[in-house]
Amino acid sequence: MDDRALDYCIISFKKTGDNVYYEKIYRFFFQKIYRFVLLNISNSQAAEDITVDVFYKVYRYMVKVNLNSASFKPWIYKIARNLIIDYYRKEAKHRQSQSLEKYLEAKQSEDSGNFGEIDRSLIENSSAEARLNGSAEPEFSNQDLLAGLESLPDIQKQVIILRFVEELDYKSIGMIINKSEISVRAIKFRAILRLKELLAR
Amino acid sequence: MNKNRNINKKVLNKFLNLMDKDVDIKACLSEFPGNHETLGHYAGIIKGLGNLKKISASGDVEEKSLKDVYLQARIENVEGQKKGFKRDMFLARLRPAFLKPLIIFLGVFIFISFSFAGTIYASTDSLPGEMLYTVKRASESIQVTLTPYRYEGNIYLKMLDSRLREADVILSLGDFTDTVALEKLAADIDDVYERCRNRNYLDLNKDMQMQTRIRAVKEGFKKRYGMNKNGANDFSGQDMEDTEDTANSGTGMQGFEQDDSGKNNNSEENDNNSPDDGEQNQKGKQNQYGK
Repeated sequence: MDDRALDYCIISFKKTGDNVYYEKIYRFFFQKIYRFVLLNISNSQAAEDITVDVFYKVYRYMVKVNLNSASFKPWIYKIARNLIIDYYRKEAKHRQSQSLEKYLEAKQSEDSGNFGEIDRSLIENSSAEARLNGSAEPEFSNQDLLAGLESLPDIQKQVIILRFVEELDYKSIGMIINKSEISVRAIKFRAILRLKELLAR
Repeated sequence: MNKNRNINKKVLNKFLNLMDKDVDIKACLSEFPGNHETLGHYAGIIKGLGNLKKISASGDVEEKSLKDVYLQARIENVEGQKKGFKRDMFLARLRPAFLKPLIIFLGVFIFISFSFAGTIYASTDSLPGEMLYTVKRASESIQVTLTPYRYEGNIYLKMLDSRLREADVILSLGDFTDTVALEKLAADIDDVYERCRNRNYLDLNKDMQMQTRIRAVKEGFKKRYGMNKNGANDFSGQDMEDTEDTANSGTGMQGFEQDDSGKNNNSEENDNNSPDDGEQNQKGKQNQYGK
């Protein structure tokens, strides 16, 4: 979905309240939001619940907020981030979440469905230090990367995910985490250095 | 070592900036041949993070979540309607219970307040013996009750002035026949005057003024009363000296007769004496106030 189509869907939903437009937006963003939440909280069940909450809030408040394609992305990610923070607060005392690694391993055993295939591909490309297409850069496994992400402070983890996984621009990330563009760049830089240190161990 | 690390940071920053511009990794690395290996690690991390994009939920999770969103919205809507219904029912139950008596109470309260205020306003010019005079006296009593003790003198002074004006009006009318009311008014004048003096609210000049006015009023009463009510009571047909005597004997206008004969003896004498005696009286007054 390009920006024009997203704009059209937002305006049409606000005008008509027709769920068809909402569903287009939902299908475009669902995987992104789910992934963002899952990478942050490492709990598949909670990630599903939070994603439902995010889209419920979008459904309820989209008509009340002035949005366009440029502001919609930061807005929806911000909702997700706020719900993640709420989740952290609730679970701070007794965090018994299943780690993402375990979750992926469990899913690997499933043979059916798209998710299982993707998971397996993620696990299988874990050949550390492997060189793809003769390139110089080493290949890090997903497990290593996820473990590294887990060890990062929340803000650094969020910036890394938003920048390198979700591929948002710095301005949007700044809007999501309430920081300036320069701060976001600085956080990203520190996060990359830290991640490199963690993966080098 | 440290210097080398700093250089690496600068180089890394440049490298990351290049990566931000979607330049190919190989091309980026070729820009920094000396740091090829180190930067290769960073490039590998960034590339690995990009691979995490492949994480996704299965199709049934997506569908199930969409249904949950609609369900949640429907529940919220129903709950909202229920809350609205409950609120309406609550108000509907309460409305006749408190609204009607409240409106009646407010109406009566406002009516009584306006009536009372209007009555008090109307009673300001009333004379003894009239119906509204009672209201006037009652409002004065309330005023005195509500006023702190140290300011009561002012109220009494106003009351004295009011009584004397009433007496003036009665004298000017000439056809006032209510002797009981007159007696009471005379007694009131003395009583209020006494209260003013007790609170030391009358300075020498004011006291003299008031005494003069009181005396004039009393004389006017006696004269007028004698003219209008021949033989009606003990005052009738007697001159002023006789009146004083009868007052002391306990019949008719006792209040101010006693006052004349008792407290204001000096002033009574002054009326009949020369101006020199008046000066002596004034000196006597000064002694009385300790001035």
